[in-house]
Amino acid sequence: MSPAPNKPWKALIVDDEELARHVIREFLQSHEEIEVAAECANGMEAVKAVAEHKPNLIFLDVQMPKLTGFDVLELIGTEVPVIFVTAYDQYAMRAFDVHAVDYLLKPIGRERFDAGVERGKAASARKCRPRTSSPPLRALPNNSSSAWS
Amino acid sequence: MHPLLTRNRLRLYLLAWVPLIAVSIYVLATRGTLGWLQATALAIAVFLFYALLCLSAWYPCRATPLGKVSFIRFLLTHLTAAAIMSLIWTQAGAALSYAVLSPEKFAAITRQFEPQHNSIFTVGALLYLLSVALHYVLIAMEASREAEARMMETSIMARDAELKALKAQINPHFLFNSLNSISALTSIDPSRARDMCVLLGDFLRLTLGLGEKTSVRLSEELDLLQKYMAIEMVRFGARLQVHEEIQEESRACLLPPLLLQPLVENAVKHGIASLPEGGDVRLSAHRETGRLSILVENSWNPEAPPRRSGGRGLKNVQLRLEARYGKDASFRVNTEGEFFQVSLNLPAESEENA
Repeated sequence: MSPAPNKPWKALIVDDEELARHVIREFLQSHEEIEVAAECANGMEAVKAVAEHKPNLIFLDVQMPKLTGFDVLELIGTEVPVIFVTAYDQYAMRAFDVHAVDYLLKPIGRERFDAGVERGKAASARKCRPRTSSPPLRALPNNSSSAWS
Repeated sequence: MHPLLTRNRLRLYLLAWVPLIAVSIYVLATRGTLGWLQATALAIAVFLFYALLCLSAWYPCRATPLGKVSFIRFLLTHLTAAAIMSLIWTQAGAALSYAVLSPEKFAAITRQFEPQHNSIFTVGALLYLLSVALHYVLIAMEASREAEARMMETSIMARDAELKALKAQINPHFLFNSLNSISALTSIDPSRARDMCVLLGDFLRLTLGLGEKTSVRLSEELDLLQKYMAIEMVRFGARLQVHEEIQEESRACLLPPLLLQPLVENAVKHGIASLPEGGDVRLSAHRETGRLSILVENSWNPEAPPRRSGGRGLKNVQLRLEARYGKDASFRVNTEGEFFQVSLNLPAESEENA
């Protein structure tokens, strides 16, 4: 599956709950530059999907069957920017340690999600360069520091 | 640790020997050839030595606990020890006198006490036996204090568990995840989103209501569990299958509120959530010959690493059962088979006989 030229970003959604994936998918619809490459229901699928689709943004749940979100990161490394999406706030410090781009708490709000996506795109532009060269620099948010507060 | 070897107790113990020492000094000084000074030194040395020797009664006392060994053994142990100790004492007394006194005075005192040798030996044995009695009293005191402390500890732990259990009933993450599900449903299926809101509202209301009572009917707890399961079934979809097998007579049984909810929550959180394909949660209750037995089982992945919070919920339920029913209730976890099983067995109380 080759990305449409107007969708330079490929995202992966990893969550064991169908409804939780749905929220993210729906929020991503308003980000036309991002294509959802795959959805995964557990950590093992996620590791495979990363190898297969080479996404440049991952939305990752922490508590999942087989492998947790942190296990996944251990396997795929920190090359791809990761945004954690979880109901648990106690993993935030650990997420920071593994260089997560952002940490979204369920239930997720639209504005907070969009801020996270902007951070993700900025990190992605720094780390792995999207396929087309035009948008990333413009996509850099000017309030990137506030997203972690 | 020897119970008398603390500074205050040792002082009291030695003080108890003082009258004896005083009498001996008087006897030694007035009925014999010794001066007051010599009499005092000798009496103090001899009795101080014996006072310390008698502390050793603790060991045979500990080795022959009252009521746990035969009377013959009890008697033999202490009489033998008394004879040995008294012998040691009299011989040591003689040796001490020999060392301290001049040969003439030693000869005089030996002559003087020769006829009373047997009674001195008897006094020594009796003193030792007195010390045995004292040690038994101390051991009993210690044991009762320990039992008291243990009981305090258990009751504190039980109350603590009770409080924690009630506070932890509404797991915030359950709430956050449910709200996230509702958030998803608002665009997919608004009427299901509304149903979920109602379910969540009912669940919260029931939890708060039941938590205030001391006992609830099993049927009330089951109502709550049904709401809980219905919410989790929205979250997990086809991954969660629920089976109930509730005997009609058991529904009226009374039990502590929110006793089963943590078990079912555990089954979902640690069982179903760790299986990609999901599985079953089964709940059954039976009442038979005055006993209520409840079984909560769930499919699980035995290889999944245990989560940090795992086991705390179970431990709380166990402590609450213990606090409420003591030895009259049992709590068992079986991880042998394909299903993770928790079984409870408790007295079947109902409102008429409670």
